[in-house]
Amino acid sequence: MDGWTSLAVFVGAVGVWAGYPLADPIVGLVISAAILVIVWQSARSILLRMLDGVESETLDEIAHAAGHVARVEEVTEVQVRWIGHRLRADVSVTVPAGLSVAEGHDIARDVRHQLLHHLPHLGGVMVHVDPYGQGGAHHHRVGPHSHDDLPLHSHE
Amino acid sequence: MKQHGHHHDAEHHGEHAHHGHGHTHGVVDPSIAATDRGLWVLRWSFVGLMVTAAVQVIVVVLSGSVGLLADTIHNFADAATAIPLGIAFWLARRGRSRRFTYGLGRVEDFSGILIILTILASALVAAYESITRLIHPQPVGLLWAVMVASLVGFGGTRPSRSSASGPANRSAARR
Repeated sequence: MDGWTSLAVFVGAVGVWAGYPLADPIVGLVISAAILVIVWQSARSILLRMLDGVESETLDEIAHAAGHVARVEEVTEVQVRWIGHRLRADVSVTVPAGLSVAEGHDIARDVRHQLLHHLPHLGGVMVHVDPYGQGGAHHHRVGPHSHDDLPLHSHE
Repeated sequence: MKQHGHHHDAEHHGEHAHHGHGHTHGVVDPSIAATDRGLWVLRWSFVGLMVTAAVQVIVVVLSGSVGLLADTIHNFADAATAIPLGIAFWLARRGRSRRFTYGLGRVEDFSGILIILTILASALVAAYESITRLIHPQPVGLLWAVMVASLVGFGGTRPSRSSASGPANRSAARR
């Protein structure tokens, strides 16, 4: 992609010299079109990043790597977003409910370590540890309740 | 629910094959730019492309070749892709602050968009000039200079590119 535009200019100049004056603007038009293609591709990849677009293989890879860490029962949620050209992952895993906070922390550290090994573009990892059987968003909702003289309310 | 995860910035990348997340048209792969050797390549290929493009600009003005104009814009565009990466690396070193708690990594995308818009405008100008000259042909002078400038463009872009995928990769692989 990079060297041929210069060679095209050379060919165009030879064409003009040989008596084909239109060779130069034709080469100019072709290279302009090539630049517009590059502009389109670059704009697309930057906008994808700004909107936190990722390939589903990345999610699979994260879920797979996290799922292989010892004592991780399930990987319940994977969210990924871009900060510049580095990925930042939020991963929720469930572990046996009887473990201590310190043991849960060790597992989270292992998950983070594994992910950093398997995904070279990862810039940061946040691991949420839930007891087995209570993973997933619906276990974190705060249903209808009332306290402190407040009317009945909920936090979905 | 407990939350874990600290942020000691691990430079773990480089030793693995690059995972495809779109392809870059820039001078070096973003993950390589995070190494010192990568920055060195980034800086010198930027300088090489800028010098090449600057030489070409002079010949464009003297000869009136629109083909060379388009190639010059292409070289400036390639050089400019190094700017967001350079900014990103500098900002990554600055780290996070109380105002920007996730760091300023997204400045890379904003600067990228600005540069893309600049390149887009330049390419449209080159396309417009080319079409105008197809309809109203104008003589191209200094053909020998155009040929030399095109060869300079070919030479000025090649070596930096091959070194970007050579030593930089190897030094990154050692980490």
